[in-house]
Amino acid sequence: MSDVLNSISIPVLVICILGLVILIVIFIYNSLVKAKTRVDETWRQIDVRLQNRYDLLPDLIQAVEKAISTDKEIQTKIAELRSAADVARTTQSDASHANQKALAEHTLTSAIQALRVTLEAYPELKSQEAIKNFMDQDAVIEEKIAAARQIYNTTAREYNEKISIIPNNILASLMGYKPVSYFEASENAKYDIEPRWGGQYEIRKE
Amino acid sequence: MYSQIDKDNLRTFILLIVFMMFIAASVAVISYSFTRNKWLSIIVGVIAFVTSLINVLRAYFSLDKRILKKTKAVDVTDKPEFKYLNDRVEIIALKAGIPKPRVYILQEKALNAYAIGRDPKHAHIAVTLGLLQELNTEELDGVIAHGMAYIKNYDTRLMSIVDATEGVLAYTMFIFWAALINSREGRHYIIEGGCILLLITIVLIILATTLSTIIKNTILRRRKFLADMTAVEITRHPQGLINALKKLQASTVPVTRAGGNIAHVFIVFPKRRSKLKSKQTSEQASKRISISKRISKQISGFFDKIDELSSTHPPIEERITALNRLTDG
Repeated sequence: MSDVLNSISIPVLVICILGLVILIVIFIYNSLVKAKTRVDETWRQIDVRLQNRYDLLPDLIQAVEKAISTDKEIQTKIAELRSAADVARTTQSDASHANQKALAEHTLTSAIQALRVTLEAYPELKSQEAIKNFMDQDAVIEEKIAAARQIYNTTAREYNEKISIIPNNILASLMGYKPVSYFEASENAKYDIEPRWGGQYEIRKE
Repeated sequence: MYSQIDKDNLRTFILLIVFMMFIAASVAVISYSFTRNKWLSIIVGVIAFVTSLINVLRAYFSLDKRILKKTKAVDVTDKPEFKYLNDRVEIIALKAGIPKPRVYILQEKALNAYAIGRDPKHAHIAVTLGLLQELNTEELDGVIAHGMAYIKNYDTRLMSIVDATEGVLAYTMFIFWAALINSREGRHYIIEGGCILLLITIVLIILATTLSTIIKNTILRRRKFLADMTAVEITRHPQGLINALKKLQASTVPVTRAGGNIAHVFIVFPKRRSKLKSKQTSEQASKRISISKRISKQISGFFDKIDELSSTHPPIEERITALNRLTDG
């Protein structure tokens, strides 16, 4: 046995260890890249649905304004909705800003819901094709966002765990990989919303 | 989750190659024992390997197209008339974490659905018009999630492989006979004990086919349970699927285009018109003849057992019980 050990020269040993280290590094690198790609992919799923929602808004605003432009309360709600939509649209949309985006979206959802509550006073308006259409479509989009959020948060958690464990964290910091945030509104924003109106969008602390 | 699927892919691939090599090797060995010709046996082995490989690949790449064509499925992906169905499929796909499959309608009044596709990127989901009309959103979600589970668990791939391996034995027997006839020693054997040899081959083929059908159906039934469980994991709502299964069970409308060996892809066994009729007449007959009631009961018990072994779907009651256990727990 000792003969065998003696016969292995130091350079060979060094080369073997180096080779092993390189293999491990390649393995970690690949797994990190894969995890990051999954996060970006699932984020895109959310982003597409958010975009669909923004595209619906102008029609709603136009329809409501056309029907009742004199009511002050409606005007305020429309103005709020518009600014919420602007904020939501301009907030940077990527995995590292998921939290901010969720907050902006949350405000937008609240604004839509507030408008809906106000519209309750105008039954004839509620039955208007454009408004009814928006409400129906918005409920479906919210459900899609909720489903996409579920899978995004799972992949984001897997990624965050992956880049924080040793020795992955060393390579992750070299690659410039930072933890991503979850798509959820923060705790204090959670309580200033009014009763929900049928959409299944829920802000839940994961 | 995804690394698990990668591992499964690799495992299936290795298993398949090992299986085909085993078939090829045994064919070569049998061939050698009769012909004593080394090169001929090697060639026969290679041919067996290549034929089974082609068979598997053909089944793997064409199964979905074949089934869609056979059931006359109409592609309604992103069609505004079927927005509701498309939305439901999209939501469940998002929840399952797989791309949205292509959506199809089967022009049938029966309540049934199926999903097919070699991987989530090449997947198709089809529901009957009857299903779309009769089920509420929760129930429809349950059925779609079952299909999505089928795609996510790579059941189609498994099935195409099982299907293909089923035919491999018959192929190899043909090759074996070809090898016998092509060699002098082989011809000698045929002349010496031709009848017995032929008989043994036929018995072997029948035995192996029966056995592989039983194994295949056992796998299929287990996968159905697995798909039910995965569906609940996706929707997190077992009651939707339970209610849907109850409705599907209660419906007596037959599926007109589910003939041949494609029944196994459906969520519940597609009822057939002839079977329904024969069941009704046999029930009437058994009512009329009261003396032979007990005997017929025993016979039907025996046939039920055979029916269960040869069935591609587990009884719906059992599936509902298994799902109920989830809600209780």
